[in-house]
Amino acid sequence: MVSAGLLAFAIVLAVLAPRMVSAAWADRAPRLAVCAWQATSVGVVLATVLAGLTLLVPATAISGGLAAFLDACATTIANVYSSPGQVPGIVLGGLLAVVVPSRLAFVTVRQVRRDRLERRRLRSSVLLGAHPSPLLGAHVVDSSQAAAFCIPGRHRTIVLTSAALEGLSDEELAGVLAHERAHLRGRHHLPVTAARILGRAFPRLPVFAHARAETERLVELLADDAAAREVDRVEVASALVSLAGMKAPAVVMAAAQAAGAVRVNRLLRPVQPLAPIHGFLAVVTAALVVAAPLAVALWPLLSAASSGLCLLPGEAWWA
Amino acid sequence: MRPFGDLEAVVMQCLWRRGAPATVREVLGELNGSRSLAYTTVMTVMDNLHRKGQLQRQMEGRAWRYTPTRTWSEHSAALLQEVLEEASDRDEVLMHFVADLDQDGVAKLRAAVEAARRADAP
Repeated sequence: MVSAGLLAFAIVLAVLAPRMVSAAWADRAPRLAVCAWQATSVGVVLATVLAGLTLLVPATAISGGLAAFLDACATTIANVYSSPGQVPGIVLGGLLAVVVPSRLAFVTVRQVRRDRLERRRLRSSVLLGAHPSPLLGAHVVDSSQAAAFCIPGRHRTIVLTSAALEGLSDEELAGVLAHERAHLRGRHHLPVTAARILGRAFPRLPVFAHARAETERLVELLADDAAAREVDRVEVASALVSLAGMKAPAVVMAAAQAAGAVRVNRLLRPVQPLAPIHGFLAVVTAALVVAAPLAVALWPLLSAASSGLCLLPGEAWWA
Repeated sequence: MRPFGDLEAVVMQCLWRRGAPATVREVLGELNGSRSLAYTTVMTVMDNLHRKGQLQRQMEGRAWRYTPTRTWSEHSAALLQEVLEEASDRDEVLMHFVADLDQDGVAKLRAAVEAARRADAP
């Protein structure tokens, strides 16, 4: 029963989250929305893994060497979880409790390693011909193509091409640099990497693809907001349009086009920040999304322990 | 095109700095001012770079003399181009300041920016 409940929770969360974290409020509170997406991802994974673990409870409790004296306890626990304890249940439980975390761990290690390597290679290659500019706090690379980006990580770097440096006004340049500094200072690559890892690990699940796309979009809004606190918002918007205009003409996907327009318009017409009460509600919901599966999974265990048939880990069995 | 490994980058940088063909021994001599490397290590790295087409070589006396096939600026331009095309995995480790807009979108938003500027000006 508990397992079914946890699985249902994971499914409902995965389906509802994209509707709950809608652009309407996410654009007004991008930081909160990034947290909401992270909480959603954690909640879905946690509920799924716990569903698997609870399915396995009878199997492990009975096959374990402790069975002799924990028999009563095991039966109690199995009863309260009312897990079927039959082959299909055990297979499904194993799949969820073992395969999901292993897959996640595998993809995480691979991704973190690959990213680290790529960043190091980028630094040793693109920056090979760059001139550091302490005044700008950035590296300038000679190129006729206008671009600005940052390489996050341990050795964080902001990179500008010479074409961008020439094509932007001083105010626009200040806006670009403030935006990149905000990315690095806020460590925006961390939620983005986490979302990317989940998307890669479970590519069939739309909720993780959605979380990744939204996280990538929202951190740009976050950095825009930070830049707009340092530099005139109109100049940050102007820099966006200027750089887009300097880029070589290419086929632009409608979704990307819309996202760019949202950023510019948002800078030109500042949105109302979320009312404190709504923000508070969002934080509470995010916390509940993570806490609920834990509570559901642990509740029967606690009730079994309090039934007196089970020994708590701290209690000596001979007492 | 793969970017250079750490040691490859150091060797290429050394060759670009010299601006003239160099033997393994000469590169080693220059590098060992800052770090201690074995002759065979540097030889292997330069041999690999030659195999990858990054270095060309000519026998002079009893030793190969190596020169980069591309100049420094050609090389960094090519790499940057690849990064900016956003096609590679490498692009994922960066955060671009970019908005994808077509020409029509740029024109419209430019007008909006100018209007906001005028409204802001006293």
